[in-house]
This record gives sequence, structure tokens and C-alpha cells, in this order.
Amino acid sequence: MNNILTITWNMVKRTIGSRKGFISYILLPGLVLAGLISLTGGSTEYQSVIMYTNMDQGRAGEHILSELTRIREYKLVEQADEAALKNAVIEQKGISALMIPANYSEGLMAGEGPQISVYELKATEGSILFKMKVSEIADRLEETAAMVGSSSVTTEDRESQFGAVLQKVEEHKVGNVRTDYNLYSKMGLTTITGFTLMFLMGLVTTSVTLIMDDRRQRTMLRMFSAPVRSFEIAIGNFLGSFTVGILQITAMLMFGKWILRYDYGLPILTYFLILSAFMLVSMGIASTIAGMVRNPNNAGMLNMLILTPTCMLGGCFWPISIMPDYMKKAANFVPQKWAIQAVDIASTGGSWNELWLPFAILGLMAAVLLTIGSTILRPSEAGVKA
Amino acid sequence: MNIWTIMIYELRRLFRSRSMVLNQFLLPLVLIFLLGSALSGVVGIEETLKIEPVRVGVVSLSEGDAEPSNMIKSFLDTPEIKEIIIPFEVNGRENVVSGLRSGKYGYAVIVPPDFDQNVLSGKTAELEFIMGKESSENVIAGTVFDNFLNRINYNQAAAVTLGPAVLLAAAPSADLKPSVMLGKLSEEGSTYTASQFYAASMLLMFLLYSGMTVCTSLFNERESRTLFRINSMPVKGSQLFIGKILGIGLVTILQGAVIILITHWLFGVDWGNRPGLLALTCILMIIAAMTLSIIVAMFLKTAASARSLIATLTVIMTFSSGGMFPLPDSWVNSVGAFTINHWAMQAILRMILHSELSQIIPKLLMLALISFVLFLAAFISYRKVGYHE
Repeated sequence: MNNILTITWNMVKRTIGSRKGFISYILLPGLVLAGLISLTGGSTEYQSVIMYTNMDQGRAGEHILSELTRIREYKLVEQADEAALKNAVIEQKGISALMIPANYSEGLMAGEGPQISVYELKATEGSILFKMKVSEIADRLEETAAMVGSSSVTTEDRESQFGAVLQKVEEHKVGNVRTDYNLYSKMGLTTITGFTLMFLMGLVTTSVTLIMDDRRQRTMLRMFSAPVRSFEIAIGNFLGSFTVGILQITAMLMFGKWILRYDYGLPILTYFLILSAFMLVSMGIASTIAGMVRNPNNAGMLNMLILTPTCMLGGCFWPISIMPDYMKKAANFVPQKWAIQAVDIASTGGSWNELWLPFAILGLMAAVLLTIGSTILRPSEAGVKA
Repeated sequence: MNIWTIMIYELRRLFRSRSMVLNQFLLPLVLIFLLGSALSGVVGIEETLKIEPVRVGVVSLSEGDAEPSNMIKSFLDTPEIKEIIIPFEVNGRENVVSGLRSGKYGYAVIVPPDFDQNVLSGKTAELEFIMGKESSENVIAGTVFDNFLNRINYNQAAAVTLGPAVLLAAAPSADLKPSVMLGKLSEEGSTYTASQFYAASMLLMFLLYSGMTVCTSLFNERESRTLFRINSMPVKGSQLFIGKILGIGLVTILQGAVIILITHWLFGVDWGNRPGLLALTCILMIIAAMTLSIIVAMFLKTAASARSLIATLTVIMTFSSGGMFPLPDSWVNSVGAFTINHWAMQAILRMILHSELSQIIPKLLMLALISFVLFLAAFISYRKVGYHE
């Protein structure tokens, strides 16, 4: 037992004992994550920029803009003409752009079904919702124009009637009140969790690389010549990198919680447990790969080969719900998915009745992978290609 | 001649390494495929997206014998709505809130006593929505009920201004074409999809990653003590260095070409109408990536730290140029502008969109300037530090 603790302690000391080690393994991850939090989740009142060009002289174009201004999530920015609008979209100056064509109102009154154009560089949740909102307004405008057309005869009459109806619409006598008990998870939380997971996986890889270096430089064999047993070295190494990982998670959480005062929306202890469980799985993945590929340089590269695709599949970058069905099924095999799900459950006030499932799956994954990967932690097999 | 030998040897060594081949050639294709198919539901035809119905608790606050709202009832009875919304009649506000908390309902709507009456008489009428536990269900149910109220609002306005008869007179217009269309960003009418955006951003990310190979190769020689032996041969340090860089550069050019061609043939990514300029952009990007990693390799002591610095820089640059997540717009155009990716991305996007030459050139010039500065810096740092034991 003493031997195990000694090896563990030395492993921790070696990784983060020096000033450089402490900065690059503890301080830097915390800072990077803090930066990310302040970027995505810090301001809750974030507005998406929508650019527009209104070529319409009539009442309808004006009405569309006034309806969109009512929506708090959007910040409207005007562009001079269509070319400027397209250019702004390509330069990513906003999530989406709206172009109301000339003579839109006249077209509506004449029942020609004029079309509004929406531009986007990449489809995102926000841009899709925006397009839906605009088509809702435009559909209603078409109906209103048809109603006005059926009731009045002369053109001038129509125009004034149309204006009067829209005036009335803008009073919003029929509307809704939204009551929000904060039951759903916060928008930024999934992004932050996703990035944390990706980051954590990369960090764990570095600490496993350290063990690999020990093998390559035959340090492990020398350790073995001392009165320690093979399993003591294995457990010591494992506990050492595990402790480093725990410290990293703690640092990250503390940076977010106390320095940035970011409200994770779930008990910090639960978040900590979820991240720790995930870290165990990624240690398993990293050591399994290291066991399969003996050249440490290649092992590092192979890890990347695993890291990015699994993060994409597991929903670190976008919600799983938008993916096609077969990919949703494939996501079940990826630990990231279960970690994110656990965070989701915990942040919506779920209890251990629901939380046990993702935890059990993460635990199982960790157990299987660590068993396979434990070979690299032991000194008995020295077969390393330098 | 020596340069040539070293380059050939470097190429041979790279192609024999299985993980290199996997990483440089397979991984980008896997990532582009994943991105393309994961987002295909969003990007392509919307019919493929199957919407799971949301369970909505409906509370009628009507007192005594008053009829519950007919408008809501008939709305919930329409076939299209039935597919998306499963209504449950609930008694009392407290019950529906506790149902929401336990996840029994995904959304709740509370109907005030005289809703129908108020609407018909042109008075203010409001429904109360209570949001549930699932963000996506909140969006779906919220949109459905918002649109319902919106329609009533327009109808009420029309009825008040034009008289109630119009509501009956106006036949639902036969839909000619959708009232909103997705505009074409490109000049010559070629289609553009999000998969193109991600293909470009991934291509750039992998060209940047090639810098890691430079670090590995430079440090390997030192760590396995072969640099010492090579130095004892009639080979100049600079020849060895240039040979290595040329070898890796060639592989990276090949990598870029493979990514572009295979995404074009397999996934149908359209890379625009200027293959020459596209190649130039890639080569400038490769020069920038290589020289950047040479600088890093010169000043760091171990291969591991150099590699992790390159990896971090690559991820940060791809991330802040908006290539991974959608970022706040202000961020992309302020911090993002300091990344190499930003300029290359803008240039490639404009090629994909068939923009005019005058819009592409400034971005390319900027990229060339960055590459030149990095090249100079790499040259100076090589002169200062050198490549030897």
C-alpha cells in the first residue's frame, strides 16, 4: 500500500509539481475554460444579429421589420443593398439575413405571391428558427392581403385598409405570457460541457503519454527492479494520473464558479462527479490506444483520430436531436453522449432515479477500457518500439 | 542532391507510418462525412426531420358552467397539429406545474376564462405558456402556439377593421409557392450548402495540423540520436532541414489535394470555379503552417510540448475563426481576424460562391503577407538556433 502511495505521489509531483507543470496542466486549462464560459454562457441576454435590406416602399415591408423588432432575441442591422447584404453574410456578420424585394406590398395586394429571400452561410438552429418566423409573418401577410382584397374594391381603398389592419395587428391584442420556472437546461451549458469534455479528453491523453514515456525510457523497468510488485506500479500510475485529472477538473470548476461566478445550473458536486466519471472513461480510451500502438508519437496522433469524431458524434458541438436517426443510435456508443445527458438530467433537477443510468454506462465503459488498457501501466511487457 | 535524398527518405518514412496515413488522409474525410451527414437534416430537405410530438398540458380556468375555449379545442383537433401536439386536459394550475416538473408534460398552456369572448369582441386576450424541461420541446410547442395566436391576432385585426364577414369570405389561398425562399449567396447560381462551409474549415484545420508532423520529424531525429550520426556525414545542417521540410510539404500538398478531390467526388462538395487560386490558397496556408511549426520547434525543448502547442494553436485558430461552433458575430470579426484560418476561409468561401476576383484578391494578399512574415521569422529563428545536437 505504501509503495502504491509513493508511486502515486511521485507521479503527481512530477506532473504538476514544477511551476511549469502547474501552469500548463492546472492554470491554463482553467483559464481556457473560463474564457470559453465568458464567451458563450456569460451573457444570458445575447442577441443574434440579423441583417436586412428593405427595398419595399409599402406598408408590408415595414410591418415585417416591426414584428421582428418585437422579438427580443434579434438585433436588426440594416445593409444598403443586396450586394452589401450578401457580403456581410459571407463575412459572418450575423446569423442570417433578410431581403424584402421591391414592390413587395404591391405584389401582395395583387395576389402575386411575392417571395422574401433569407440568406445564411451555415445552417444553425438560430437561422432555421429565424426563417420559420419570417415565413409565418409572410404567410399571415398574404392572407391579410387576400382578405382586404375580398372586402374592398378600389386600389387606394385597399391600400389604406391593408395599412389599417396591420396597424391593428401591431397592437397585439392577442398574445401570450411566458412563465419560466427555469425547468430546462441553460442554452450555453451544453456547449460548455461539450467543450469541457473535449478538453478533458485531450488533457488525459497527455498524462497517459507520460506513462508511455516511462516505458520507452525504461524507467518503468528500473522501478520494477526495486522491491515493488507489478500491480503496485500499475495502480500507482493509474491513481497518479487520476489524481492529476481530479485536480484539473476541480481547477476548471473553481475558475468558473468562483472567479467568473458562472451559474452552472446544477449542483457543483454532481457536475464534478459526471466529469470525473467521464475522465475515467477517457483514461481507459487513452491507455487502450497506448496499449495497441507502441510508438508514443503515433499514440498521440491516434488519440486525435478518436477524439474529434467521437466529440462530434456525442453531441459536443451540436445537439444530438438534430442528427439523423442512424447517427443517434451510433451516439449511444460514445461516452460524451452519456456525460452530456447526465448534465442535462442534473440541470433540470433530475434525481438519482434518472441519473444512475448514464453513470452506470460511463462506469461500465471505464471498467472495460481500463481493463484492456491496464497492460500499458504494467512494467512486465517492455516491448516498445522507440 | 543531398536535399533530394533526404526528402525521398522522409516521404518514404511518412508513408510507411500507418497512423500518419490514417490521420492525414482518413480522419479529415471521416470528419467531413460526419459533419455533412449529422447536419444533413438541418441543411437539406426539412421533411426528413421527424418531429417527436410534445405532450402539452392544457388548463382551462373557466369558472362554473362556462364553456372551455372552443378555439383552442378546434385548433388542437386539426390533423396537422395532432401530429405534433398531444393535449392533456388538466385541472388547476398547480397540477400542471407539478406535471411539468416531473416531466409528465413537455409544455403547458393556461387558458383564461373568457378567451374566446375577448378575441371575438376585439379585446385583449392572452394565453399563458409555461415552459417545460426540454429546450427542444419548448421551441416546438412554443412555435406551434405562437403561430396559433399570431393567426388569431391577424384575424382579429382584420375582423375589427373590415368587419367580421371577411373571415368567412376569404377562402384559404391555394399555396402557390412558399412565401420565403433561401436566397442564393453565390453570383452564378451555383448551389451552396453548409457542408461546403465545414469542408473548407476542416481542410484548413488539417493543413494547419500538418505542422505537427514537422515537429515530430525534427525532434525524432534528435531524440533517437540519429541527428548526431547524420551530422557526422557530409550533409549540411541546412540541407537536412530543407529536405525534411520539403518532404513534409509534399505530403501536405497531397493531403490537401486528396481532401478536395475525394470530398468532391464522394460527397459532392463544390469547391468553386477557380482551382488555380484554390491551390494557391492551400499552398500559402501550408507555408504558414510549416513555418509556424518550425518557429515553435526551434524554441521548445521537447517534442511533446511542441506538438501540444501546435495542436492547441490549431484548435484555437479554427475555433475563433468560427469553423467549429457558430460563435457570436462580434467575436468572429474581431479576434477571428487575427487567425490564419480567417483569411484563408474567406478566400475559399468566395471561390466556392463564385465571387468576383476583386473580392478574393485582398484576402489572398493578406494570407500571403502572413505567410511571408512567418517565413521570415522562421528563417531568422533557424539562423539563430539552427538544427543540430
